[in-house]
Amino acid sequence: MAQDAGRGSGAPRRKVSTLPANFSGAALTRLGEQASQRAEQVNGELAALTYGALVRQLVVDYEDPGEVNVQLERLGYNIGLRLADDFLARSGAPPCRRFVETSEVIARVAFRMYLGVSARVASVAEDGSAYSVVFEENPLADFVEMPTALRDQLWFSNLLCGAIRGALEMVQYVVSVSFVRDVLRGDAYNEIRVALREQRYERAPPDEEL
Amino acid sequence: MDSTLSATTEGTPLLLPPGRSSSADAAMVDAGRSSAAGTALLPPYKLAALQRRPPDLHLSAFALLFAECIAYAQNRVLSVAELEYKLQQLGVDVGRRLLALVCLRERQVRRETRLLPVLRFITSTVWRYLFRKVADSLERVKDKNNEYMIVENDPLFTKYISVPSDLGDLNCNAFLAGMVMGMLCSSGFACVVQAHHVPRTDGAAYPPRTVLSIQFDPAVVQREVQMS
Repeated sequence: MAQDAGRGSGAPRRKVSTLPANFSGAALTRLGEQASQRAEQVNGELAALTYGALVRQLVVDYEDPGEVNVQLERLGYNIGLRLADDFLARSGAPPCRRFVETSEVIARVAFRMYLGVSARVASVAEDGSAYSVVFEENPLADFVEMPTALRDQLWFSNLLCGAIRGALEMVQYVVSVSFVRDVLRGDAYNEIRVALREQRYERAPPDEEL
Repeated sequence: MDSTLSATTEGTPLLLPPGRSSSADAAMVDAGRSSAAGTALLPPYKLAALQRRPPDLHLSAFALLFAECIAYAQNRVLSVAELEYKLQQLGVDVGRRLLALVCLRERQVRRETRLLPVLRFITSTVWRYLFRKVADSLERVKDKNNEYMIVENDPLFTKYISVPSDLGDLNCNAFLAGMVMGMLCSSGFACVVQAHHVPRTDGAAYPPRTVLSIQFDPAVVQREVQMS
């Protein structure tokens, strides 16, 4: 990662958005399926209704859909912080050395493992600093009818965006994550855009004796 | 605010486009109106959601989601009793909608009208749907004809939740209690359900046993007596 930072704006030796061999789609998909089979599962419909009750409570409490989006993202962020450790412990996914590698791991392994959803990566930026996670099925939004007043302002599953942001922050990537397309708004599929803002480097704490 | 979550309501017939198998919705489709009309009242992704079950969620993901629900409620209340009440209300929200969904999934076409059968419905059918096992026991409180208890030895929701001592005897299964309350009230059995911690019989501290105590309205008990 230090080498990437030092590369500057000259022509890179290889395109940054390509992935090494052990990040092949098939291998990661298999990893995701195995991880989800090993796990104890909770009825997806119960989860959908629980999440829906939570969103409904937020809408009643905050009334402004923009504020509800912010709160959902914050709740997701708290979840993501803890989910990162859980994911690394359970999934056996290969470590990501560059930001663009997190895209395949999140889409193929994490989404499959936690939500049971097969997602894929799309629209990777040229310099590997942003990508989209695309998925058709969203188990959290299964029984939802959005009222017209909220339809174009509320991102119902914004918790997922927060979770991705929190999880990536635990591995030192500061990102901004947002929904671009949502099936509940009438789009054909769901799309979450993840963009890298800053990469942090872990430092040893300063030695206080010196 | 009207952010409605709707499973299919009992009164609405689903007109499925021709060629769709309606085995899962046999209870809901009005047999008299066949799919000759060919129009779907619901958009395709919703029909799909009703016809097949969504994928299961990983326990960690659900546990963290539940923990966030509790944390959110905790930030908005001033006492433990209020927190339990908020969790219970969240559960009632879920339970009211869960009833129709369980009936759809478990092919339960008849609504129970008597007290013991509806309690058995909850402890076996609903529990099996939620937790893939039946409740550990259903008991009636001695000397009281309107109080029943559902005992759960290892409740799934609170598997990873530990309550700090300054929150007293908060039981986060208030959410589960709310769900049961929502289902019973929607079935026509007005009641109040609360969750209590109960010490285990073998003396071990973990996993903690929970008892859902159900107190039925006197009117319900009276109706039950009249019907028998």
